[in-house]
Amino acid sequence: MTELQFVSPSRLDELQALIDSSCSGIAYIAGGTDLLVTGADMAGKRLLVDLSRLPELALVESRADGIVVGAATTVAELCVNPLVRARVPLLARAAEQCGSLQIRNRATIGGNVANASPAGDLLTALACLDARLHLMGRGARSRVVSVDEFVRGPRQTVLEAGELIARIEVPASRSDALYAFAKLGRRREMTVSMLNLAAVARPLAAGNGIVDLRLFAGAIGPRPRRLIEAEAVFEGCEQTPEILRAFLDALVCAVERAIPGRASMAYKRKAVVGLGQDLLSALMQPPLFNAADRTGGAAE
Amino acid sequence: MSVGLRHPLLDAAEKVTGALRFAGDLKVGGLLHARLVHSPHAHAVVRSVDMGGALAVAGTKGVFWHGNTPRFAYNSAIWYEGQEALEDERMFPAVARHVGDRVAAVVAETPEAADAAARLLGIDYQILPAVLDPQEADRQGGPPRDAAGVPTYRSPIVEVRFERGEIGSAFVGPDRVFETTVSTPKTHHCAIEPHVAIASPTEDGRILVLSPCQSVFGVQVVVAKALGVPVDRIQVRMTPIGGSFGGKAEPILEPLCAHFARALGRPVTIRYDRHETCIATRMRSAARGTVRTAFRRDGRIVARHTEVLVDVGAYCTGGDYLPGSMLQRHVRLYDIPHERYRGRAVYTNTTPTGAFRGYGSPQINAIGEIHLDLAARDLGVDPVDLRLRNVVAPGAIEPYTGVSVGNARIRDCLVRGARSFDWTRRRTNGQGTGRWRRGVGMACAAHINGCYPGSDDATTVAMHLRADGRVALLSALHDLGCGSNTSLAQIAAGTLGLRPTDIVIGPADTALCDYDLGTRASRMTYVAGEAVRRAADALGLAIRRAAARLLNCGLDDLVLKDGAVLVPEAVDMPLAALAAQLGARGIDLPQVSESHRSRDNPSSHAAHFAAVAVDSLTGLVRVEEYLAVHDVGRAVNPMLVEGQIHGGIQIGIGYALFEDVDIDPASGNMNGDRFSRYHMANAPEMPGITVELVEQGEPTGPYGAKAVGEIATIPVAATIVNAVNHALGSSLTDLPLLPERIVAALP
Repeated sequence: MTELQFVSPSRLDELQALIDSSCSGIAYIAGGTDLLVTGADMAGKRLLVDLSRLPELALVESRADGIVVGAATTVAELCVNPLVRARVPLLARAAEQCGSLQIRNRATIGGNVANASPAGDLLTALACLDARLHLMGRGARSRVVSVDEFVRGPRQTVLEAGELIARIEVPASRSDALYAFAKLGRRREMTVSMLNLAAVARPLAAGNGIVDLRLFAGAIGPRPRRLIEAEAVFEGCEQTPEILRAFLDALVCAVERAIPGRASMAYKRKAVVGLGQDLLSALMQPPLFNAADRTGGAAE
Repeated sequence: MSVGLRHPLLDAAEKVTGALRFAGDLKVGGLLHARLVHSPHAHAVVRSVDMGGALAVAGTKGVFWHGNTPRFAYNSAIWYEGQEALEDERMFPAVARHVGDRVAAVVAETPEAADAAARLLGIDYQILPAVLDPQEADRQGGPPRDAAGVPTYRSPIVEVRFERGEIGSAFVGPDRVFETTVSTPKTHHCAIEPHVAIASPTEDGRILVLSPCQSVFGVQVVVAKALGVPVDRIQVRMTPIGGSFGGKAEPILEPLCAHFARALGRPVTIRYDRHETCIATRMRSAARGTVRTAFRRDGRIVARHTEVLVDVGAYCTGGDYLPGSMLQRHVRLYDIPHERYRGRAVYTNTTPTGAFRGYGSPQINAIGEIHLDLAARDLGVDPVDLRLRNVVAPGAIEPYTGVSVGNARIRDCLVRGARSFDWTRRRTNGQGTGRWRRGVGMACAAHINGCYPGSDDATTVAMHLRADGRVALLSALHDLGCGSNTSLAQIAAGTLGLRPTDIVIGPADTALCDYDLGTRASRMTYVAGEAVRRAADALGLAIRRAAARLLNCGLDDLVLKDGAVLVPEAVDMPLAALAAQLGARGIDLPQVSESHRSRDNPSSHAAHFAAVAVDSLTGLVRVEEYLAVHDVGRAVNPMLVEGQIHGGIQIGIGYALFEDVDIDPASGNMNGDRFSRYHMANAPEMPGITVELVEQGEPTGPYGAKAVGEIATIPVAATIVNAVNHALGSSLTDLPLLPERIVAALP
């Protein structure tokens, strides 16, 4: 039996030294909401590194074209952080629907992404926002990947031994952006997504409609899936009942194509119609968040 | 008067501050830790266990499996010595009969060493074909015992038949006949505290078992049976319990823990985690029932024929009396002239089932009440009116056991509930044609009060005045967290003119208490409560006698009130002062012991009403409003009664909408074996709840009180399902109503 050591570095250079010294037997913990509950197999691990004491990993910073979120930022922080709410409100919206209040208080964005659950709520939103994951590895090696590249399969990622997610860079949404996150679970709170949808778009300059819709679905494959056909339905159109119907039909087709032969398909292809309606009604509402808004819209 | 008071739980402060020590918190010197290994196969011979690697782990004290452990057969559901039962369990069976069955154990100095050693056991299985479907088990029938009385594990374990009236001719000629088949799932108890036990050898050669249990005497007889030792070699003391709901009614870990302690000469603990509690303890049995009912045109029931198949899992436990229990509750709700019932219990290679809040009642109630609602719709009769035409009246004789239902006030519950809920208007409101459909539903229930006449139901309570003026109450009482000790203290205090906190209740202990059959069958308030009332009455008389002698006055002039003896035209004498004066004169402090044997079994009743909204696209159900009207006779503590009803509704909503252990039909693995895959109704799913109590008094109950704990959950599932069927115009009958099932039922 190998002894498992627990370390809580407080500076990034200490973390780098730990990675360099023992990358093969290293495991990471941040909020612990997955690791401590699932009792992940730690066989062969010698070092458990706590990422929750590193200030650099919990920062949310503004950049010219977006924000950078430290991987150890809690999901609860994403719900209330003014920069997140003002510049990438979709991420705040998805964060509000993750887990339960208690889980949001502990769980981190990096942990949710690294877990690579097919039902992960933040993954769908981050894919939709075209986020870039900054990975940190041995010998100060760093690389940047998209969500699509990061997730190799169900609960499988491109992370190499010792490598971790350090920061997540999220391009800012336009100030007039429309956004929505819709989730379907068995319960209202503390529930795993059976389906989730994330969308950003812009209002049609003249008339009632949207343009530049970017739409992703979660829990219908190993990684968030972009629904290009459904996106295209709206392009440049006035919103009419026919268009709405065509959009919902496109969602049904997308589910049928994504999980053919799966037992859950019969239900999901029907339920996605309801979820699509929820998404559109949220998308068409005037933005709830702006830089001055610190409280409105948050759950609880 | 403390009866009727909204008094907080006696141990509430200790619980919320963490001062109360549960079994898993106890520090025991020299404690060893056992880790059990469970079968990954639904049915397999355990051919051998290679323990070489495990024994080499530092700290390992012993490895146990069927090859080196006593093989005495037992049934974990018995509660007194000599009780007849199908003895088909062993501490370690030679043939594992479900995924999660006990195969081996490692006992070590630390939990970590036990874990590490347990992983190194080499277990050789010979896999056998498994029967997972109860209908298949029923088809492959045979006697459950062979000619020599040895269990064969063939089904049915029992078949209960009951017939009343002229059932054959009753179905010929009535106006309308309806038939419905309803199925209910296996569900988990989900008590906060997982299963745990501690056993220690004592200096005089006995084994002391500490256990959060529902009956110390039940644990004692089962442990003695499993170990093959006389009952008096085993002492059992109840530890504070973190919830049970029936899950801890049967000793599961206690026999093993006691054996390990005896074999190793050291204290041993077994602590299950949530996953182990899910796969390796007990669940609610699954039932599938078909009801065929003949009605007159006005809704009066002429005849009813019920067929129920109960899947009790891998071991019999109490499964042999389950179909009879279901029958007993089934026939005490409506007055039906012609009745036929056949209930069978069958084995499957799944985790065993056992007691769970209502003991068969939630199953049979869902079957009967969903059926009745669908029949009401087809008859064109309002569901409340239909029930009002058929419910039992006070004093009716329950036809299966022939005992009176007592002051049964189901009619009052229905009338009052329908008025408070504004039933008629809401039932005739439209369901809506949009995405969300709205509906209202209701159901009725009847439940028992104690074990009479199926089993002797007696309890003994000893009480004495303490030197500090408080009163000690000694009886094998098992408060499962519902506050029964608080209610019993209120009954005693009310009788003695004391405050509930003046009643000091010790833990149930086989070495200190007289025999009691434990917390089961909704008997605490009604049976134990009456025993406490009688004992308190007798102690009150003894205290007044002692005071009368001391003060040289008439017995009838003295009254017990506010912790003192009130003396006419003199200063009150506090009980502590009385005790001191008696002590000074060398007179024993008053003490009594009273036994009470129940000779009645009245019904508790309830009518529940719910409003739901159903998303016709996603199949999600929201319970928006809930009204529970209960006939409790008299509420000893209305706050605790409401708490029981709220908790019962939470379990019932889960039963209706979310919960199913979900056994994989190919492998026998349990999908719902952890909380991430087994969903209860959590706080956001809970509706606003209104409770109304009908308090007409039960003449045979203490201060008129009857039970509420089990019945609180019994009508909930049917209430919710009936509301969903009203919202959708559907005929859903398979519980739980998962969104997939609802969507599939929609056009």
